[in-house]
Amino acid sequence: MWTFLGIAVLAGAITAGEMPSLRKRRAVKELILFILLLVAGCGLYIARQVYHATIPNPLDGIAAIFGPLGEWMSNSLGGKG
Amino acid sequence: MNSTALNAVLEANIAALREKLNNSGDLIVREFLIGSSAPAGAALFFIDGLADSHSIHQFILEPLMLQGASPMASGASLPGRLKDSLLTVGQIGEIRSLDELAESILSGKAALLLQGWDFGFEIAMAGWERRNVSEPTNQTVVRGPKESFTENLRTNTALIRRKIKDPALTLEERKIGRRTKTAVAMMFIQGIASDSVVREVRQRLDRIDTDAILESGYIEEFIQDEKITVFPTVQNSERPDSVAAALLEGHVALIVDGTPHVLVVPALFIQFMQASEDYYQRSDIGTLIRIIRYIGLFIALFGPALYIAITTFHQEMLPTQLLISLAAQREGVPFPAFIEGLMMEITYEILREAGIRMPRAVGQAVSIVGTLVIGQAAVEAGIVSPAMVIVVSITAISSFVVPQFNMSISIRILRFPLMALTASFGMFGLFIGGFALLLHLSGLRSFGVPYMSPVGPFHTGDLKDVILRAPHPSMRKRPSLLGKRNPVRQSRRRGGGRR
Amino acid sequence: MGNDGKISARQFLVLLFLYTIGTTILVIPSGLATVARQDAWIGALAGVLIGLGVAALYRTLWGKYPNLSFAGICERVLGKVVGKAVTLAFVFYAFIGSTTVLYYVGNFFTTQIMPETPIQFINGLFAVIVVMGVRMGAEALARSAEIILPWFIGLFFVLILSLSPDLKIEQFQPVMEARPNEIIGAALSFAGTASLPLVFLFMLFPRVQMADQARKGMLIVHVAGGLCVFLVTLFSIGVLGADVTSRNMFPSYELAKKINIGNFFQRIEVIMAGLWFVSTYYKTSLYFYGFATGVAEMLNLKDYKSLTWPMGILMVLYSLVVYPNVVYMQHWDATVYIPYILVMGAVVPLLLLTAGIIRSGLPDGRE
Repeated sequence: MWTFLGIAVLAGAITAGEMPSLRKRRAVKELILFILLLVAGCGLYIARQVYHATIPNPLDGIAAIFGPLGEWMSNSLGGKG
Repeated sequence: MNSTALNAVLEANIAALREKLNNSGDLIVREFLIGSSAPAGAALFFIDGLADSHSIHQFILEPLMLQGASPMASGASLPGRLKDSLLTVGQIGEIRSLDELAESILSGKAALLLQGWDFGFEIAMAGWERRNVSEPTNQTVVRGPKESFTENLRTNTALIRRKIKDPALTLEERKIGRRTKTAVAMMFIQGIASDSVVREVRQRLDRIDTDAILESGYIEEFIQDEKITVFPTVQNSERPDSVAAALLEGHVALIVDGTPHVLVVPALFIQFMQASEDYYQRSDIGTLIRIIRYIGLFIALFGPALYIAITTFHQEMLPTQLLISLAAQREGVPFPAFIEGLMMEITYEILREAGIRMPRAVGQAVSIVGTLVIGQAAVEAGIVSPAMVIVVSITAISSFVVPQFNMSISIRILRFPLMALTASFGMFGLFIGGFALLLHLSGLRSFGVPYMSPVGPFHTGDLKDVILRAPHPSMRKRPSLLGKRNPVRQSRRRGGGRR
Repeated sequence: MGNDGKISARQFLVLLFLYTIGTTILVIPSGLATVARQDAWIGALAGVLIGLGVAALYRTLWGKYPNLSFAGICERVLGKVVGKAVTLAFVFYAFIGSTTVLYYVGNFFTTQIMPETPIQFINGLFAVIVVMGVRMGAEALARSAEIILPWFIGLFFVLILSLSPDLKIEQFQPVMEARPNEIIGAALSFAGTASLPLVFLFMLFPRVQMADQARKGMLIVHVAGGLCVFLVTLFSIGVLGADVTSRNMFPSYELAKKINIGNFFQRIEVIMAGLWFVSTYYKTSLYFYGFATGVAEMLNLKDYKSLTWPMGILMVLYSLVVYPNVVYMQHWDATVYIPYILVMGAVVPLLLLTAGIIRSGLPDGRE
């Protein structure tokens, strides 16, 4: 409940702050991106905090790529594990 | 500009002027004759109370009515003769329209119109009541001149001229305010002040379009940089010596008729922490006092917030003895430290403001109420803890260490958000608040000059005057961002001296 | 190139110094002690040496293309398509960098200083000032660094000086017990946090005035930053011992706890936390700056400032996502991170430099 309100207020404040200057400069590309990012950010945040949805972790993807190499390096160079 | 031109017929002008001024009772119209052989009708206009009647009698009416009696050709050269030979006054100008006529007499001049001519003269005759040059009320010094500006523009510009007798000291006047037509003078030293700043000031002044300018504060709000900030970006001073020093460093001064508060622009953060006295006392004293000032600033800003942070979240930082006694004090207090602090601070601000507005007779009562009732009694009633009273009092006094009033107000305002941050987030909140302040200050500019110079951007040469007050013989250069055009103040010290 | 002003050479060096110290000072000593035990300080020194090489690489690349940002260099050297792909990776790295660093900040403050505060608030508040700073532009950010530097150095000295009497030489013995590969491992981990991330400063390079002066001082300042971390590592071993250092997540904070001047100034570690606050702030901000300006340049936007707040929200969100818990963090940092950062921090710049040399000869004005 509070999270919703908080995010709504935050998003509102940010938009109110940025909109006038974006409109004045007629920066269409930036405006679209702005809205996109804002919606994505707020949406994902609410999804995670309120609905406890699992957001895919980019680090997992990175681990998939570099994991094996990393393990080998760590074992031969440090023995930390 | 389509203002009514003056009529050649005198009576028409007189009637028109009376109507323009709404038949105001202090408008004096003196009709008389010039010359005796072919007397020319003339009328003198002035506002009783603004123009000096004595001078009018002596320098206008007398020469024209008496000496003008000698035979003279009353023809095309009458105005010429008046101006060149008869009117024994220092300043004369021509007026050609009804508006100019009204404006000049409303500024204290006397206006002379002639029958049969569609232009007239305005003669400077100002002689209204004015305050004498006295001591400054807000910025006092122990050592240093005790003159202060007054409400009269001319007196003020004269006070500055007496300090700087350099011909390069330039004065540019203009009238701002549609109805108040306030005279505003811009002063700077040609060759020292940066051209871009001077240009910027002119531009901003020209942009002002308003009815009334009653105080330099109005001008300040119109010309200050647009960024929203709590901090002042324009300095003001009542002291001619401060303003003169600023001019010599490359600043621009704005003197507004009707107020003794002169604006100085650009204004940087460290200037608000400097007092002219620093330069009159010996340099080591100046340095020490400055250090105390900065400590005071720190306490005034972070004091209550630190207290709240430590007592609420980080008690381990206090020596055990102090901790025990503080805890004992806070036992009986029903409010959390933040509310306590808030209450006390607000109470203090109320007291302070009331103290300024209060009629003098009641002033005593206020201090008694303040100290005894609120401090003592509140503690005994268990509403606040003594430690909090101490903190608030020290903070309050510390804020007065800041020499410039507008800066100390900013500090006081900032105290509250900091208190709120620490009440919720402890020291972390304080770091956040402090850092946010730092960032904000780093991004400010005053008339194009970064607000935090010379600390950031770092100009080693200028650091001699920030916390230290280097001795005069070693301050050889002007502050680099302002006085780029003329960097050298004095040449190398030639022998002699203590060392 | 963007309207966020120019920064002077000195300001750049200050930022470089604080960025180097960044999170290194907070998280590295523990890892070093785990790998190299009481020789962690040797590992740190070796790391500084590696850092020297890395910084030299960046300096050369910068000198070759002084007016281009990273995106610009990629495009120039690798062509539009490949260039944009590499820039995309760069931007991605920068974002991940800012989120991981934000996590460290939140983790540190929430476990050590404000245990009752939920981590979202700490990360959120920190993100607010990060966004503020980045929004104001490089110029204002650099100015703030200049102002805070003396305080940082002052506090650092307080830390070092007040703990000097507590150094116990036995803690370092036996010296050189660690095997060479352990030292190398430690050094790599050191360089991975202190030096390799410097590649993200490439977005800052074009905005530096008097760039040759900046390049001249670059190596020394970077080494100086590394030495500060080395000192902290040294003291961690010397005062706390290798065991405690490796077991503790934030040994430098443990160190601060031990400050005791005349039995009066004790438990002032919270003030010392201010030190880490400053260095992590600049690390996060510069990562975020790289991200925001990178995105803006990739998409040919006129300025990056308007996007910073939404990006900030994403940064906070992901700071909560990237490390689900501390165990994951420690494992990932120790294994995946090293090769990951080596790619963007060493391989790509080397690639760009060699390809650039092949294309157009050696950089002029080689220092």
